[in-house]
Amino acid sequence: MLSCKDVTRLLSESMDHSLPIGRRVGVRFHLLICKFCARYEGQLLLIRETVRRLAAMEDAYGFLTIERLSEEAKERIRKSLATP
Amino acid sequence: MEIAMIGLGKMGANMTTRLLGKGHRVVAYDVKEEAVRATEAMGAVGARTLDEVVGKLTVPRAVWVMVPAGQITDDTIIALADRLSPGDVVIDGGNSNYKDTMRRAAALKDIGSFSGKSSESTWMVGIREAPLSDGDLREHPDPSSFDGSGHWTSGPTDWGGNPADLYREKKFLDQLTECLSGLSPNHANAFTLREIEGEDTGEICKVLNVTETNLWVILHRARMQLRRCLETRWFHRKTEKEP
Repeated sequence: MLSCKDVTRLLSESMDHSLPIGRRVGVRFHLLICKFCARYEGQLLLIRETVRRLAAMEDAYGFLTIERLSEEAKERIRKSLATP
Repeated sequence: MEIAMIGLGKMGANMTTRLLGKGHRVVAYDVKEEAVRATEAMGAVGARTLDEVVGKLTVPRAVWVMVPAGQITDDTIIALADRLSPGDVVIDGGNSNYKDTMRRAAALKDIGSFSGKSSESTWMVGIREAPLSDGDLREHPDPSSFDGSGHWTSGPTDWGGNPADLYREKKFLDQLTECLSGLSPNHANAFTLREIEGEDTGEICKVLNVTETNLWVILHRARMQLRRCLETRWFHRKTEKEP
């Protein structure tokens, strides 16, 4: 019998590779009877979906953030150069 | 903006394509001539030597190093560091051997570099140096969530509303980046590459220099921690107790 702790780990793994059939059945069965784990799965998938949509949006994409960070980084570098 | 991409493997080339697509100028370098040519065909400025890379960038330079682990790579990075100036920025592609190399590279002392703690607000620069630590692989990503028999002590709350539209909410991005910066470097790197960039796990293992089993544990921890952070800081709901 899989515990919730096992199931959360397997749910994450199933987002990266396909689980062996026995495992998959065990997880699905658990999700039928456990609302927290079912919710957990939905939320992980929602986070994945949301970050991918954000990444696809022009103004949200990380490259803009790089420009911002470059400034911060430069400032830090200046500071670290100033301190012996 | 303008940036150099060092290493035009699958990930480096993809990043280059995306940068070019958004109108940025990219100076592209790889030891393989055909890789450089391919990016030139897409509009990148090709560079055959590191001197060319440095020469073709305006100061302060930004250089993104996207190369897998290995001695040749370390040598490349040191050689590159020798050619850069104070104020230039190096974005580390996540090679875990890199940290020690950087310590040895006296040249980098004068340049400065990112440290894992310093990138408070970004995903991309969330790709940074950090050797794999025991903490990255601890079995329970969030020990407080489960009791001794592995049941939830406080399960995920109902996020309500219309979460499918979450990406449209402007402030959510800020909260997400803040939560991401709370992850350890390896967790943030793995999450960024897998969930944001959609890279396959094999590729991520190469860049982060970890086994696939390790990567699954890292991703599990990262997702769990990030989920909890978003729940607490964004969804603000009182955690339910299991009946």
